[in-house]
Amino acid sequence: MICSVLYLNGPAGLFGADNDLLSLLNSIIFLVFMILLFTGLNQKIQMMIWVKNIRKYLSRIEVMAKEAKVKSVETIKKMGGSNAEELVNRMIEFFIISPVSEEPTGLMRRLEHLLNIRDDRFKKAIKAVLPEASKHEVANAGVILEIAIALNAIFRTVRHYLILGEKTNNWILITQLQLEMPQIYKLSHAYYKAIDSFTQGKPIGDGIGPLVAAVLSKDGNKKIICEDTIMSEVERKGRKLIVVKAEGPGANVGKPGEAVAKLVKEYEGNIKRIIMVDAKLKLEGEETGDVIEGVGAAIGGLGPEKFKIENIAAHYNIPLDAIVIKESVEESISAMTKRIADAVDKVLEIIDRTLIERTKEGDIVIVAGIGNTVGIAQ
Amino acid sequence: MDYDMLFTLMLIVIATLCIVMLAARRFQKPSEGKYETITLRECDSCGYRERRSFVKGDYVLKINGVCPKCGGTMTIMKIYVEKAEARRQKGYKQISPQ
Repeated sequence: MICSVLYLNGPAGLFGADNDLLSLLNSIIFLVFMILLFTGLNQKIQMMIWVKNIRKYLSRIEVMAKEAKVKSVETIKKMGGSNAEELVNRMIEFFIISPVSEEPTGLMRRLEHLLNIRDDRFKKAIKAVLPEASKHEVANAGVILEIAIALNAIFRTVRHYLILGEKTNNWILITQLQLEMPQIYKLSHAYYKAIDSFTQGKPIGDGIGPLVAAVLSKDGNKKIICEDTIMSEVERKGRKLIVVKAEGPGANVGKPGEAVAKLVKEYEGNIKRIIMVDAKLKLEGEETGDVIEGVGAAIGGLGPEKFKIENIAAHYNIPLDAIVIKESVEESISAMTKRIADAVDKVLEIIDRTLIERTKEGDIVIVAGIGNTVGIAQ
Repeated sequence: MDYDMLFTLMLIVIATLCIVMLAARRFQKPSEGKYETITLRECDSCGYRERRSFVKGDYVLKINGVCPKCGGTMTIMKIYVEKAEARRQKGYKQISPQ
C-alpha cells in the first residue's frame, strides 16, 4: 500500500516539496482519530476484540466441561455402572436452593438439613448405578460428578454474561468478563486437572489436614464417630489426643463438626483444647506450604460444621487453636505438591509446642484434620 | 530532514503498533511443567525411607511391601507431585514401582 502511495506521488515527487500527500495522510489520521474518539466507535472495536477473546476462553471451558462429563461417565462405567450416561445427564444441572437468610433463626440447622438431603440424593443416585461398588469408589465417583457439575455451571454462567453483554451492548459487563477470564479459566483448568487425581485416588492439596491427622493417629485405635468420620486415640507428649478426620481413602470430607461436638459432649467438656488443621487460601505473593497459627475454627464449607464447633467450644469454654497451611485455590483441588506434603512436619512441630506450652500432662486434646481425604486412609 | 514525513511515519507506526497490541491480547493458557507423582514409603521398624513412582491403588497409610534393610513392613506415608525437572536437578535416582 505504501508503495502504491509512493508511486501515486510520482517518481520525482517522492514526498514532494508540497507534501500534499503527507498533509492528506495527516488529515485522514486526525479525522479517523477524532471520529473514533467522539462517536464511541473505539469502544465498540475494543468490545469486539474482547468478545472475541472471551469466546476463545469460553470455547476451551466448554471443551473441558464436555470432557469432564465424558470422564465422569467413563469412570462410573469402569466401576461397573450400567446407566452412567443417564445418571450424569440427570445430575449435571443439579442445584440446591439456599435457605432464607433474612430470618436467621435456625439458619444453620436448615442449611445442614438441605446439605444432608443433597448428599443423600447424590450417594443414593450413584449407589443405584453402582450397587457393587465400595464406599470409597462411590465417594470418588461422586466427587468426579461434582467436578463435571461445577465446570458445567462455570461454562453456563460465563456464556450467560457474554450473551447478555452482547445483547444489551453492556461494555462494562464485557470488560468485567474479559478481566476475569484468565482467573476463571485457571480455576476451570484446575477443576479439570483434579479429575485425574480423584480417578486415581491421589491426595489433593486440601487433604493436608487429614494427612496430618493420619500421621498423628497412625498407631491409634480407630472407630467411626459419625457419618464418614473417624476418630482415634493416641498418646503424645504425655497428653491424650483424640484425632478426628474424614474416613478415607475415598474422596470424603466427613462431618468433623458433628464429630467434635459429639466428643466434647461425651467427655462432658473435659477437653483442654481443640486444635484444627486445615488448608488456607494464600494471598498472591505468599509461599505455598507456609504454616501459620491462629485461633478459631479452621474449617471451610457452607457453615453448619463450623457453627457446631464454635458453638460447642463456646458452650464449654474450650480454646480453639487453628493451624493452617497456605496454598492457592488451584493447588487445593489439584494433586498434593511436595511443598504442601512437607508441611506435615512443621504442623506436627507446632502441635507438639502447643501441647507443651498450653496443656499439662494427662490433659485431653482434640486434633481435627479438616479437608478432603482422597488417597489418605487412617 | 523532512519533519512532516517523519511525523507522518511516526503516526503510522504508533497507530499500527496500537492495533497490533490490541489484537495480540491472546488467550493465555496456564503454563504446565512436567510433573510426576511420587509415593514415599517408610519402614515402621527402622524408619528407612524409599521413594518410587505412584501406582494406582496407592494411598497414605497403606501397608506396602517389606523393608529392604530390616525386613519390617513399609507403610506409604506421603503421596505428592513433584516437577520432573526439579527431580533431575537433584540427581534423584528412580526406583521402579513394586
